[in-house]
Amino acid sequence: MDFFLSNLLNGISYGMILFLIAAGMSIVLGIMGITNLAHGSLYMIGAYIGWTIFVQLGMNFWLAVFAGAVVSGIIGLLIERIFLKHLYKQVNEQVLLTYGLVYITTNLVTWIWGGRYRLQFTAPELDMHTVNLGSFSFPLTRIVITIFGILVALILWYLQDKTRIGAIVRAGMDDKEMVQGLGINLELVSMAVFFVASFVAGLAGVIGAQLLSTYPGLGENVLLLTLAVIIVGGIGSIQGALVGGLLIGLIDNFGKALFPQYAMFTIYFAMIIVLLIKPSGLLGRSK
Amino acid sequence: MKKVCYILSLIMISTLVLTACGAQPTAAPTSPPTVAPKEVIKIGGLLDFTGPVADLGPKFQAGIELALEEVNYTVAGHKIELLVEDTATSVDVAVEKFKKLADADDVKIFIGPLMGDAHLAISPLAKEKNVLITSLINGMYQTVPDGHYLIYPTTVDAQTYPFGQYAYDTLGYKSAVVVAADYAGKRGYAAGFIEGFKASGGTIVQEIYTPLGSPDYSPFISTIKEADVVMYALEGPGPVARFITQFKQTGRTTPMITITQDGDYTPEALAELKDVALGIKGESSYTWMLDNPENKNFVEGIKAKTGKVPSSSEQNAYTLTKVILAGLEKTDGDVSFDKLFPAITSLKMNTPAGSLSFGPEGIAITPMYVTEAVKVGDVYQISAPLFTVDQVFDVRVKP
Repeated sequence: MDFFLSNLLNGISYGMILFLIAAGMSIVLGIMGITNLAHGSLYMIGAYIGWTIFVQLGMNFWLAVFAGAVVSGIIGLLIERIFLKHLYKQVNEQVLLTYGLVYITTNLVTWIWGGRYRLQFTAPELDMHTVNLGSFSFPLTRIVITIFGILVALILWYLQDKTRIGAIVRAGMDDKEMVQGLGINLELVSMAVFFVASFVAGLAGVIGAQLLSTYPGLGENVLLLTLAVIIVGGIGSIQGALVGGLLIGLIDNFGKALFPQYAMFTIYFAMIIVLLIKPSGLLGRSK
Repeated sequence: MKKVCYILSLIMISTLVLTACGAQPTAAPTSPPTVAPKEVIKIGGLLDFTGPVADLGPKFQAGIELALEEVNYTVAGHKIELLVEDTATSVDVAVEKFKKLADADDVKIFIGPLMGDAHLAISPLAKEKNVLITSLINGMYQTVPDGHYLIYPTTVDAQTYPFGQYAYDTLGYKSAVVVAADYAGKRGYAAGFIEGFKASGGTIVQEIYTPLGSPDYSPFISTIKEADVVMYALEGPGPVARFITQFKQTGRTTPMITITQDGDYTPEALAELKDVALGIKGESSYTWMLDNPENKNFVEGIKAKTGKVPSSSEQNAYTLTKVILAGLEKTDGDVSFDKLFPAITSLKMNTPAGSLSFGPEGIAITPMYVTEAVKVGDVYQISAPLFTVDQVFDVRVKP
């Protein structure tokens, strides 16, 4: 029972980090049709900003979370304004350009912060504190990660499904020209979506650093996982990113625990199965 | 057009005339003939500045540079040029950079790379190109047949065999779970520990091998069975820190021990880990607290260079460079492998880590220490040796 419970809870908390990273990329890809492979780098930048604020400057952890999110949001917006807005519907060029940005950000991060792994960090009130669940203990940091993930999911879902702006975003996903014909400034909406997506990625970076630490190359490692989540969950919806994140998190945890010799492949098995059964993803929109 | 041809012809003729005028026979020189400068000796460094062991690249480089600075980058009248490449903790990149240095830069002497998998890939290439190459923190026995590797301090499995015996005989652990990163180097370390532990009478309850760069060790931690001790052997300071933090967060109180402690617990990592790492004992090939004259000089040199005390990374690179320099003195600067390798393997010297000699196959014979992560005042550091094995032999080649 302990084995099952600990892996279930670990899988959910890890899955929440994956959701936080993937949500933004899924929305941007689904709504704006932009393939931004530098999304993982925004996660990494958020983590480094958080490290600088909290570990290096000794300031408040929650301030570090906010700062990481804001900086990543701004950088994401700059990427969209300077580069990506000129490559509308040019998928190949988007892929090449954003993958080039991955290399640039990795080297910039190495230049600024050095190549050394930065150890995981968390608020003092959470550090090494655990909650007793029967005969085993569960770290408080993972509970906080899970709560954060749920809160962000609720906020984004509310924005997406229950607000006018969300309706515009969803309509724009289906028919851009019609939405623009109604006099809606879709470009402004797209900028706002890109900022929010990058903001959430940066926030995920600091929250995730409690578990995963941060280092140059984190962006590329995270990108693979993000793509797996999007493929499994489906593109363009918060629900899809959440389901995908949780599923990948649980499969990864239980897979490694039960079949450690296949630890490197378990999530890719899940991807292959989903692609065979439902190529648009579990909650993706079929064409 | 005619005018242009006319002008060009005039220029050509003028040039020929001037050249002929200038080429006057000169008088015989009166100054003595100059001696041709000796050829520059190139040493290649295959070090990791990015990836999971990125912490260690600058440390290795500092050790190499200190050794070269002590001789003013000169040996046997030859100037030395150090060429360093980032192998990015990747076998593919290590092979690519080795080939670049060997082919494009004509390097005959290599220090590094670090990772055991890279040793296995590069060893046959080193033999093919007939160049000398060294390990950085232990090496793979499988490279011995190729005969071109200096393996220092010794092979991975020989390094940890005595520690396995120590864990049973001295620390009193009768059963162990082994958690190691799933690549050749750490599997080798784990194998040596397992053999030594079992040879003394211990039982290995479980072996877990984790993928390189695992972000989250909790799935593996959840499967760890009950045992007297958990021995972990992971790929670098970052993964080590993640593992022990996540292990302790589960509330488990099983003691932990480790290998290459002095290499993984860098001063920077210890400063960030703080109390999490305290009390963990481990095998080390060096500690800056060793009390010998070579180490005192070395520690002062590294402190002056980097502002921090050295770990085994700086020491190993420093000693390997000293060994190469001593070999080059013996060969009078001849870098050819056939002369340099036997010159080096015939050396006996004292180093900051203790005594050093080599077997003819290139495996070094050095001490092994057991250390502990401790706190002295406000400083977290690796302790002085708790236990010493004066000479570690690989039993497969022990005379």
